[in-house]
Amino acid sequence: MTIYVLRRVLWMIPSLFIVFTLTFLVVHATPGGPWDDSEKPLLEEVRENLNRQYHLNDPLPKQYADYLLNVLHGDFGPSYRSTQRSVSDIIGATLPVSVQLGVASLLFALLVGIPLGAVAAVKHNTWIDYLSSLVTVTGISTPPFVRVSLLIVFFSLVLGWLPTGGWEGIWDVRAIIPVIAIGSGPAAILARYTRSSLLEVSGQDYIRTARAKGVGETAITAFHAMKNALIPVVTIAGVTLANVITGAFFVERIYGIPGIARQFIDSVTGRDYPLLLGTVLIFALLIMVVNLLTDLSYGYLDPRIRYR
Amino acid sequence: MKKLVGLSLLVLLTVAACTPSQTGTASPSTGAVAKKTTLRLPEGAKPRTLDPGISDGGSGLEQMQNMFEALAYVDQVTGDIKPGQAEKWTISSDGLTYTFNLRSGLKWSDGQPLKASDFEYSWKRATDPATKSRYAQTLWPVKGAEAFGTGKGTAEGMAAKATDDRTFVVTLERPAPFFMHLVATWTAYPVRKDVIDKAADKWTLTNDTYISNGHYRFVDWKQEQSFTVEKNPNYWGENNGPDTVVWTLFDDQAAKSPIAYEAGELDRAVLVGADITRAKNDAVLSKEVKKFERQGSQWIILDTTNPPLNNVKVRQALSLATNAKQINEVVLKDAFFNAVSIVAPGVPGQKKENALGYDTAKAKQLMSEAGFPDGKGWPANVKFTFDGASVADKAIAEAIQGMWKTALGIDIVLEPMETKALDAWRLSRKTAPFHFYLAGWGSDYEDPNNWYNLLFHSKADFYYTHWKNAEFDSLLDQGLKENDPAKRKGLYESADKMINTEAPFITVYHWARFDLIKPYIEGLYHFRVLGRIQAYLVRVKK
Repeated sequence: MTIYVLRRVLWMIPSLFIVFTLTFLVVHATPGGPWDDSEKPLLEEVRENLNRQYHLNDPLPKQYADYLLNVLHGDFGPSYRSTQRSVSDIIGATLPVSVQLGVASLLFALLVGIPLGAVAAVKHNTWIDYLSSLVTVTGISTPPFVRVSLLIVFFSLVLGWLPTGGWEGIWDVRAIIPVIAIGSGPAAILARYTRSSLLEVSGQDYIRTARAKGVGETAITAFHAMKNALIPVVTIAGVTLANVITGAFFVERIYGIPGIARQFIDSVTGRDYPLLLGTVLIFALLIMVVNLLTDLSYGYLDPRIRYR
Repeated sequence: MKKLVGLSLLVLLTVAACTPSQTGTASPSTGAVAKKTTLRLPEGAKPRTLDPGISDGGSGLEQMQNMFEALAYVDQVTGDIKPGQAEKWTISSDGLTYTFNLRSGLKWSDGQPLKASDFEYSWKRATDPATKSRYAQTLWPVKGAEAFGTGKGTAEGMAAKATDDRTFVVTLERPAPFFMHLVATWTAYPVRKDVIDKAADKWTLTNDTYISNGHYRFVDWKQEQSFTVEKNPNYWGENNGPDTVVWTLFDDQAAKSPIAYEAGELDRAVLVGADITRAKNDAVLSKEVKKFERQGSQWIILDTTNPPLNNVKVRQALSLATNAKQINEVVLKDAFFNAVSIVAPGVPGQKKENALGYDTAKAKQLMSEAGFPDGKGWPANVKFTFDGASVADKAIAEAIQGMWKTALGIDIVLEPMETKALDAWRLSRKTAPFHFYLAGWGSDYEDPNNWYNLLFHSKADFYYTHWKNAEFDSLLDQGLKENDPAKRKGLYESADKMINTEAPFITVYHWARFDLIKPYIEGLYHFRVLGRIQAYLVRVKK
């Protein structure tokens, strides 16, 4: 078990290296530079000076080697677009915000999705099930930027209950709309999986035995069926983290949350190479860690699964 | 292990139980504590920098203009140059030496005395290539500055010297009648040496290091969230504006600020595109819509060396066949001002009579004289390049394609590009041929130098039209040095006639700003040049 975890962790190093190299090559192959040239171009001499000061005129292999060395020392370099903050400053300030938002959204997804799916399974083919299907299909088929926009229109403009954007920490009312907007997609997916998985398990012999022994329906669902039904759901829960991240890309931007996903978008459109590389590495690491945690959780849910 | 799972479940449930109760009790605060007035404005999310020595004058300029003051400033209603930190200045008879006398008792926002040496430091710092300024060229007319700025000279060689605490003497390389406009630019604001030495690039981030000298001073900058300033008690003059100004920072202020405005979170919103029409048709909002002139032009740029556009008759025909009035009023729903001429109205030298105008009959005739009667013989694959992400640019390109087809019988190919790819493509046009692309320019200061010399002189060729005319260049060279305003204007008017006649640019519209402004706000005004809001002129009557 320990060896398995250790091996997986060591494998992350070459994976991150490949991610780094590919991203570096792709961003430098993409046309356009980091300086603001759209509305009013910079003077040629000024642009040249910037390229020189930031070593963008160096040969690409040299830029790559220099940058890799810096990253290995934990220095992601300056952000080209924000002259007063380094990439490490930006990640340090924005990652905690995104983590809070991401965890809250995942919790929302689990706490809404799994019960919703369970209720739909228990009451399958009744109006409750149909209603739940309607809700979940809507959740799956609307993209996060539509959900967040609709929530803003409804809660901020029509009802006037919540602010139209901003961030004051996870316990502030401003967190409600983004958490629902990001979490409802994964919640819908989890609900669908929970429902079908639970229905499948309910037909098995041990459930019939439990029922024959006179165990109540609620107890059967909650204690007997649920544990086995959750294995595929946990797999999906790991995958839904990707949904949470991609959801955050749009929601952070639209709702004005100072998170790392928004930095990622800005760094792509602004060709802020160091910030882009920094955020890509963070996301890659995050996804690898969650995949590992998902794999490990199987072992607890199903004792037959052993890691070597 | 089961205990651990149970424990974590318990934590989850506790968190879940807390969430609604926490959020249920909190409500959006209305801040009815103090009677102090606050002005709430929108801003793009990422002021790249709030360092005046580095800024290119884009996002962040409004904040800097409210917090700093140069030796002189541009009156935001009349456009006149007025004394700022300098109470007066004298210009030597040869127009080369400027002597500025600072007001007595000037202070920084932290109460420290502000001296002429602060200006010397700041000007040299902004010019130093190591500062990585995006707008370093501002002070290049100063003797030795361009050499220093391009790595060929030293700071000592730059002729900007504090001779005592209240006297600052500047010598120019050659006469520059527009120099006072540059003195009023953000690049020439004073910044504090001790905080920059201590905090380096990070001096702009916190209120103990962000020290300024203008009407307002720094309170708080929440990155990507908000920026707050308050009245600077150490400013020499009066300030009857709001006590505090809060900017909410949006990624896309045109998309988000109207929503926040309608929810009552902002006193001003930025309107573009379809939102303008929506606001105009709304019973409440229509009374709060304001349109402001912005001294800028949006053009179709032509490569005057690439056939068939190397023929002046073809360029004139295309210009005459472009119904710019219809583009602005119909296609763009009057979001801008109708095209007048290549240079925007108000710039000395610009004359509307010099424009070619709209005349399809004449355009047709010129086209047949050029060898393309009814478009016959027009080459295939003449490309019109534009920013595919811009809804307005796409609409313009399609409208132009239709107009030229109808009027002249010619076909052009539309070539949309991603914004940054377009930037790179545009830069490479210095040597590579092209046909058409869309671009624009707005005044940084209201002087012909900022247009004719900087953009159109064959040595500058800022947009790579490759258009060259020796007589035109000579008029511009004379205009650059002429100290007599009337003579100078005449020189530029002659040059204006030539460039309009030769049509390396076709104007599609002049820039504008559309705002929503709450009825209780008075004095909120955008001057036609740069046009950032000066909070000290605004009154919040609420």
